[in-house]
Parts: sequence; C-alpha cells; structure tokens
Amino acid sequence: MRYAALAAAAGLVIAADAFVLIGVTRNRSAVVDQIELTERELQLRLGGDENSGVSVRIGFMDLGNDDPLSFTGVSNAQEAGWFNAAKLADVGFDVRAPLTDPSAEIKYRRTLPRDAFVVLEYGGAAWEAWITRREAEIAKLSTEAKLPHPYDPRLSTRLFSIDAGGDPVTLRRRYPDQAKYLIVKAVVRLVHQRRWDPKTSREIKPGYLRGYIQEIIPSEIHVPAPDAAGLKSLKPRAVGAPRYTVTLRYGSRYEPWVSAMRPM
Amino acid sequence: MQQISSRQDAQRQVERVHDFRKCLSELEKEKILTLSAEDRRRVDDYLDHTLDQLSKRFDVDVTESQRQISLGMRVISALGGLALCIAVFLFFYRIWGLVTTPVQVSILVAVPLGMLAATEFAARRERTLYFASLLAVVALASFVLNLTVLGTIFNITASHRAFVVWGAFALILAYHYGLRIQLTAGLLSLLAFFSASVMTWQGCNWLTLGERPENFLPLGSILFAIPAVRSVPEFDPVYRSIGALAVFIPVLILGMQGELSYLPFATGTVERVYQFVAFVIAPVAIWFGITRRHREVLNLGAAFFAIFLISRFVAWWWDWMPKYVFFFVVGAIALGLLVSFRKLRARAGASA
Repeated sequence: MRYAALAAAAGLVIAADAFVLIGVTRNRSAVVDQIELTERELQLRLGGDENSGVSVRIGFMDLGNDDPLSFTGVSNAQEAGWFNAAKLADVGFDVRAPLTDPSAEIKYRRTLPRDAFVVLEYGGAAWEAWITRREAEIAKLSTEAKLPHPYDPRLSTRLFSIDAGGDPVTLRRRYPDQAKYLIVKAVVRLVHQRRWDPKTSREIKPGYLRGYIQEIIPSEIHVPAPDAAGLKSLKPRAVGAPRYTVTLRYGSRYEPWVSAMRPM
Repeated sequence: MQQISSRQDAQRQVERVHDFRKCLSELEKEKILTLSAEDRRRVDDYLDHTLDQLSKRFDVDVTESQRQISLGMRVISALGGLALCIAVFLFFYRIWGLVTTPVQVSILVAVPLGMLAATEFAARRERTLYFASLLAVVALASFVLNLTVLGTIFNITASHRAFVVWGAFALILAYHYGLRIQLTAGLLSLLAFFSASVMTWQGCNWLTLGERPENFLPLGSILFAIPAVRSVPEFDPVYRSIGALAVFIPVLILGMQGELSYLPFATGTVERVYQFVAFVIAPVAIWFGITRRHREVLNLGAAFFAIFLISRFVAWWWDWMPKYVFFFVVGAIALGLLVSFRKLRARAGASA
C-alpha cells in the first residue's frame, strides 16, 4: 500500500510522457505541409550563456487593413482588408451585433481571442504588392533626402497572412500549392476599429470590425542538436543577406519541425 | 493517552500538556489546588513520559527552543526547495542544446522519477519530513519542466491539460506524505485547468483562463465546502483558504472591472452587483471563521473586507475629498470596525 501512491505518481509521469511522445509520432507520421524558407522568414534565436538551445522564429507580415511598417505611422484605412467581418465569422466570432448599435462597441471590446488557422503566402501577390509600394516610398524618401535609403525591403520576410478560417482542410483546398501557402495554427483577435477622417480630423461612425493575428502557434520552432550546431557556427550576417534555408514540415496536428537546414 | 495518528495531532497533544502544566502551576501558586509531593511526582512522571513518547514516535517539538528551530527549518526547507527548483531549470537549459533529442527526453523523464525516489528515501529516514517536503517540491518542478520542455522540443501546441496532470501529481504527493505545499500547488493547478477548460469550451484560447474571473467561483466554492464533507484535519485549512481566495479575488476584480463578467448587463450594473456581493460575503466569512473557529477563514475574510473597503473608498471619495479628510474618514471607519470586533470578541468569549 505504501508503494501504491508512489507507483501512481511515477506512472503519471511515464503515462504523460508516453502520451506526448505518441502524439509527436502521430503528428510526424503524416506530413501535411512542407516548405523551404530562408533566414528572412525564420530568424535565428540563440539563448545566450544560460541557454544552449537554438530556435528559429517565424516572421510574417499581418497587414490586414493596416500597415504596421508604414512610415507615416498612421493608418487612415476606411475598411477592413482581407480579415473582415465575414472572415471573423468563419473563425467563430459572433459578429451579429450591428455596429450602429451603441452597445456594440462594448460587446466587441469584451470579445476574447480564439484559436484559428491562418494561411501564410510565401513570396506571392501580397508580398509583390507590398514591395512595390514600399520601394516607391523609399525611392521618394531617397529623392527628397538626396541620399540612398539604408533599408532594403527585399531582405524582410516574404511570408504574408492572406486568409484565415476554422478548418485547415477547407483552407488547403482553397490554397493547394504547398510550396507557396503555409497553413498554421494561430490565436486571432477581433478588433473594433474606429475610423478617422484625416481631412476633417474627426471620427467617422460607425467603425468596422477587423481581425488581428495575435500569435502564430508555435511562433518559435526548436532546432535539434545537429542542425543547431550548424546554425551556431554561422558567420555574422553580412548586409542582411540570408545565411541559411530551412525545410519546415507540418504534421497532422499542424505542429512543425525542422527537417533540414542548409547554409546558403 | 488518546489515540494519536498524525504528527499534527501529536504536536497538539504536546501543546495541551504544556498548557496543563502551566495551569497546574498557577493553581498551586494561588493555593487553589495543593498536590502532595507523591502525587505531584506521579503527575510529572506521567507528563514527561507522554512527551517522551510523542517525541520518539512523531519527532515533535517538545520545548520552545525546538519549536523555534523547527520554524527556521521550515523556512530553510521552503527557500532550499525554491533554490533547487531554479537550479534544475537553469541546469537543464544550460545543457539541452549540447545533447541529442533522445538524451534530452531521457533526462526529462529521469529527473522527476529520481526526485520521487529521493523524496521517498528522505521520508523514510526522517519523520519531520523537512527534507522530503523540499525534495517533493523539486519533484513537482521537475515534472513541470518535463512537460514544458517536451512541448518546446517537439513544437507541441501548449495545452491546459498539463495543469490537470501536474495537479494530480501534486495531490498524490500531498496525500501520500501529508504535505500542504503540494496540496496548494495541486489545487491551484486544478483551478487553472477548470477555468481554461471553460474558456476552450467557448472556443477561446486557453491562455485567456484569467479573463473571466467568474470561472473560478464554482470550483472555489466546492473547494471551500470539501472539508465539511470529507475532513482531513491537516488539509482542511488549505482547502478553505484556496476556496475562499478563489471566490474573494474574482469578486474583488469584478467589483472594479465589470466588463470581465459573463452577466449580460452594463459594466456599471455588473460592478454594483459584485460590490454588493462583496459586502455580503466578507462579513459572512468573518462570522463563519469566528463561529466555526477557522482562523484562516477569519483572517482571509478580514483581509478581503479591508482591501475591498479601501478600494471602494478610493473609487468613491479620492477624487473629490481633500486628502486629509479622506484619510481621516478611513481612520474613523477603522476605529468603528475595531469597536465592532471588540464587541464581537467579548460576545464570543462569553458564549464559549
């Protein structure tokens, strides 16, 4: 009897670990996504002296209706981008309350984040539109300053969020090209956006609803020992050029792993 | 001597022996009771024998200096446990990048199992359980590290289900060795699991477990009531304390931030509802603590009432009252409460 409790505690540890490892095996037994990305999209994270682990962090742009890198810092967008009220409803948010209702803003502000799936497009139309706009802005700034601009937008991530939904299979049917579209788990938020008229400097009512990707899950991907050693031994990044490519695989539970790493 | 089965009961028996000795000396000093030398010697022998037996069987503190040292040992045990937990975490993070995945997994599985064995070994060698308690804390921390790092290594989506596994592990250790720290950790894990589950049932991410404080009220009430249904004397105060806190803290928060509530009312209405609830449950908790002699409920109820009152006074009066008037009013109310408590205390003494 004395050992029963001890055996139960030890059994719990072993059972929990077995459950985790069986889950990992099942996830990795079926590859649902495979994509090759560079250091632009997967930034290296070294732990420092107290942490010898190595991971890479997925960098993506969530433009939505707002451009977080806009040089002006202010968005005057008058409507949601792709992550609009219809997409929010797809994800599971209740968007039935009309925005003209005075209590709607309070209701929407109370809305909590939900789990969802997000489509990340690699080097596609969203990136091309963004790079064209950004290069035009840089060219204008350089002309005004009569100096070359130090920022090269082509060295930034080429992963752009373009769609979201509650069912990854439906999303994959919509975006079948695995080399270009990555489907990932994410935490998304509903934002009740106020509209601002820059001409009159007044708020335009009613506002609108838009979605916001709070976090990709997992946003950091662990790099196992042999590849980690390769990443640690890389020379410092020269003028922003990517130093490695990583082949990322996603399994049946949409949990990723690094399947290969190659210096560039 | 009455049947004594636990160390806590034995310690209480020691206190009773000391109280009896003090009372006997007083009676003899006041010449109310005079024992013959023979009777006195027999009483002393009996009491000494009782203390000796208790000390041998349960390793209890029979002198004041022993009690002081034990208190110090408890503090050292808690601090030592904390330091060892941090050491285990830091050590693993220091080396995990240098070893392969199978070695990482082996270390993660072996450490909590090794710590369990060490806890059992210590518990067998030392009845006071200072070392066992310390090692049990490290065993639990190792298990937390185990699942957390396995999740990191294999990029697994974090799940609230880990709380139920950690909670069960902590409760097994708590009941097996009679450890209150483990019980506290276990109950807090179960509270977190329950709240996170409610959030996931609504389609929300489990990390929002703290965003709806009302989730904690049902389980908090159940934990508070458990000792009334199935009493384990050394654990009852922990159940009541965690249960009371799981009710008091949400009520306090909702009285200030009504937008966090499920209630379909305007924020101001929700806040007023919970302020009313706070005004009712705080005195009820104090009354319950006094009448049932549950010191932890009395103290938590009084602390909750004080914090709640101060938060309300600040909300109501801080902006429009001159500051000296504000503090004068708070001081006057404190005096009023002291008078009330004094009367309550006198009444409790008269009815005892």
